[in-house]
Amino acid sequence: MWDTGISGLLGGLLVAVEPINLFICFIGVVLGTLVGVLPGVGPVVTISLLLPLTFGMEPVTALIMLAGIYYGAQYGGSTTAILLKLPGETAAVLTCLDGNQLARNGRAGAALGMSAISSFVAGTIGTLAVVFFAPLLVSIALDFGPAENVSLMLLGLTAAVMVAQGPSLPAVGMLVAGILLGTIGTDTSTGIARYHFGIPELRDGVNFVVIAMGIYGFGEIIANLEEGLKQEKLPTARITNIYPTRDDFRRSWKAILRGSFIGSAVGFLPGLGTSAGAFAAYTVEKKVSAHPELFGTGVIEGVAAPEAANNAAAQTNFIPLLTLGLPSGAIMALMAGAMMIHGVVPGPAVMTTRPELFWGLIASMFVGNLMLLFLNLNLIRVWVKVLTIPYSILFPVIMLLCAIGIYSLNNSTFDILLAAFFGLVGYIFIKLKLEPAPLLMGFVLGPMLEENFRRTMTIARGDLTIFISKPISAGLLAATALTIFFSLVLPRLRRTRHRANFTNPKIEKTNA
Amino acid sequence: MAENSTTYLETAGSGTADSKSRNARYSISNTNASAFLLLGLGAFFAYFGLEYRLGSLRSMGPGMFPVVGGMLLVGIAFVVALTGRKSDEHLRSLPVKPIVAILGSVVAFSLLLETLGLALSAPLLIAGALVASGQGSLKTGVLLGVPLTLAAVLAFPILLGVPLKVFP
Amino acid sequence: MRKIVALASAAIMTVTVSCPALAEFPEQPIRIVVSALPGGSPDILARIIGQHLSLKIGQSVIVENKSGGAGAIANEYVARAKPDGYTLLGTSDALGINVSFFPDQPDPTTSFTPVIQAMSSPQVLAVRSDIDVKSVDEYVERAKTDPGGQTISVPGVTTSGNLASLMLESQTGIDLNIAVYPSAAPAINDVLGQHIDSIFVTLGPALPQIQAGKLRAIAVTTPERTPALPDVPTFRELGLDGMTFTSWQGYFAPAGTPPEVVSKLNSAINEVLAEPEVQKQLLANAFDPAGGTPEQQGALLHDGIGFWADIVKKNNVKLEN
Repeated sequence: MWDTGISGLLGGLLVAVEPINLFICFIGVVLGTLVGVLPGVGPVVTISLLLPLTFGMEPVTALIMLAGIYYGAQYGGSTTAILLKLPGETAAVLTCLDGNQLARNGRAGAALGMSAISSFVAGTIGTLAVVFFAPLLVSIALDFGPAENVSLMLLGLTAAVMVAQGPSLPAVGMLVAGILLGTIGTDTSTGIARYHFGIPELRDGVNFVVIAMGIYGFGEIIANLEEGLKQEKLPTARITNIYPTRDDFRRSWKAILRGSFIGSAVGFLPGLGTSAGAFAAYTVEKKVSAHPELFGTGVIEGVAAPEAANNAAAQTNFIPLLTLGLPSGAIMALMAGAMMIHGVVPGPAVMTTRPELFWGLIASMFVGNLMLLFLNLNLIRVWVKVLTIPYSILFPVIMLLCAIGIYSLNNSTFDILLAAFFGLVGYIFIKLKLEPAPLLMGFVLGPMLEENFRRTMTIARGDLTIFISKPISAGLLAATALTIFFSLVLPRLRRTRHRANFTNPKIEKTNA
Repeated sequence: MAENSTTYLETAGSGTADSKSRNARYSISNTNASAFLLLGLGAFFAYFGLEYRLGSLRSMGPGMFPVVGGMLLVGIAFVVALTGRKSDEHLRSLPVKPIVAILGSVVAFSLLLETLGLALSAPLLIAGALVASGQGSLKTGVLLGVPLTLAAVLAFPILLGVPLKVFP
Repeated sequence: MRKIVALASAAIMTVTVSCPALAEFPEQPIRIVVSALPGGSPDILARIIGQHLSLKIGQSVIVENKSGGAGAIANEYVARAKPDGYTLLGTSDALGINVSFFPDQPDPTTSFTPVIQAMSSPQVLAVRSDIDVKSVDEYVERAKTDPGGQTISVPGVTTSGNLASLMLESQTGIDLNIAVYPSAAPAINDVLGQHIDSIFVTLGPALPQIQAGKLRAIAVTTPERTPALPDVPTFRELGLDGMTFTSWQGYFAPAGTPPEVVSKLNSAINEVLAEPEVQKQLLANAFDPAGGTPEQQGALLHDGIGFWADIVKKNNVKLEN
């Protein structure tokens, strides 16, 4: 396995560094970054918009370009998340938490730089995981059936509550609210459309980007304007240093490695995609940190960990597609479609019948990440300038870009209307200090939880013991129970004991 | 659980405690407003979910999951409301102008986009946004609207091939 | 409101824009609207055909994704479009199946003018290779030893895979445990992972797994054996004649499109489908290139509507509550 891995990778590198492929890869990462930076335009939309550019190319060149666009779009998405607090995809919700706070503290450059560096390191680790562990990982992925997925979702949902500032009851409420919003649309198991109230567009449910742009885009703008109107002052950030400091690296390198590991380990699981890895990585960093209470106020590890996990997962996400031909999510379905348009049928045979394509693509992942590192470190100076634009000019731009970005998801004006509704909801959330992150995670994981739970019950004919009789599922449930115990029950026991002199450190922080 | 939410409320209330709002006549505490919001959402999904078959564990209907989830959320809302008396931050009147101007212009944009085309609906959106900020002079409107519309037309329908009508 | 505005403006445009000279069709880009996300099977087919069609007609062909509402959004969009041949609907046999499930949707036989059938494809019944079932007889026998225990995955309630599974149950008197998935990929995934015993799905996505020996195809639904799997019998050969049907994809124009324009599009796409390179690309995706006259496509849709309505009724499949 190691042998074929290394020789294959070297062969692939030779393909990837052919001048035409290098050039196309560069074009891909640049276009991906520029388009991905647009609010509401996540990797899926970016790839589908730019897909026609690859027509007429050699299949391997086309795939290299698409992979470049994909990673570029992810880097671009992180930039928008950090600068403008606009997450274009699920994983970016985590990047927003500390990344945007850093930007508000005048450290946008550090956040952007750390995001680029951790993405590069993680991308490289993820690529190595694809090269050396693909067969192993894919057999693990296949072991995940409906029952295992349910247990995994439960663990993921638990992690989503931990992400909140203080794991609190309202955060659990937001999580459940997100799960409920996820039930809008056609129910897979019976084909019935729920909560559509006769609107055909709602038969397919609500798109994640519509909710995210509504809450973080329109909702945030209203809140900012209200502040502005009251204080006659609009939020602008002073920029101190452009690049991450030595201290930032000292604090982040472990987070990057842990995030890369978690991302690689979750990214190949079908259905979960890249978001769960980012949530898990953020939660883990918060758990191991000496100052968990500072997370969410702008700590550099809070950017490094989810960015690493996200990008490592973006690599291992390819494993089911490349080894089985089965796309694990919307982005991979798009890549599969692109391969098929170019006459390459994704499947177990690709590695043997088209080794130059298989390894060329993998090698280009590494090359593309390297290009993105240099590109993004150089773009920091440009991006931080965005923050010097007065908010009164910036927000109409954000509004227009959000609206068109939402439209481009499915060429639907109804989606813009729906986003306006979520803008109102989001504004109320901000006023009530309800955190949207658990809601968005519940929204993403909820439908998968329901679908897999019902499927498990169908297969097991109503026998709940299947969840503990299957070893992987039982292990995940145990991990969920332990997480709940250590994060919720144990601290409370301690707190009750020291109740008399207990003070909440967050209070000092937020007032500082 | 109860203990936890108390912690949350202390956090929430600690920020910018406003003594005026505490005594305001028609105000509602953040906690109660949150509870109402969650309650409403849970009740909505539970009630309309009853339209769908609940089914059994072996063969769950489409109603089971949202109804159980909705009831769970209603329960959470009650606990939030009951355990959160200590909140001292209050929700006052909502800022009507930015809400109407921002959301109104987005709604207008969505309704007009496919008939008027991007070249006309984009300036409308920008005009609405400037009204919201309260500093929308005609000059800023033109200085911002014209290049922004041009850029949007160039970027989305032309360069990216988003199937968007530009002109009516 | 939005619809009224759109309708009104469409009406105004039809009046004001005078009929362009037909001889010059096409003089602007043609849009193929598909009810699929990019990368979905109708999208792939439309992009392959669109790419070659645009070379042939000298106008660009744009694939527009309007997924949602079980096809209703794309259908309505094209049905409302100007009947000038510049807006086409890329659709599939689901158009006929959905008549049974969504009676409130507009009647496809009166909303659209058929242009051409682009491809056909069998549905395949396959078992995972570690199960010792090599024929439909053995499959039925195994199901009878454990009624309701043999699991089968299908890629959606309203798909022909699900309906075919129900037909198989009623025609052979077995009771299968049907697990519904949102699409083919996860349905195949769980069969490969040995969580599910068998699958009823379009050949395309299953073919690589069958060729790799991970799935064992035991029957196809087409009247004749499929070139991709010459050793796999048809249901008709096995005496299950009621399970004979073909999945297809094809193109439709809004009702009222001038026949000259339809026939021009039909002959151009027929020529595209005959190109060796297109044939190669389609076959690689397990799409059997079709072609033919608009009337043939119309008949195919019409027959399908009756065929599926009968099955839906017999098996009492409902989407209400």
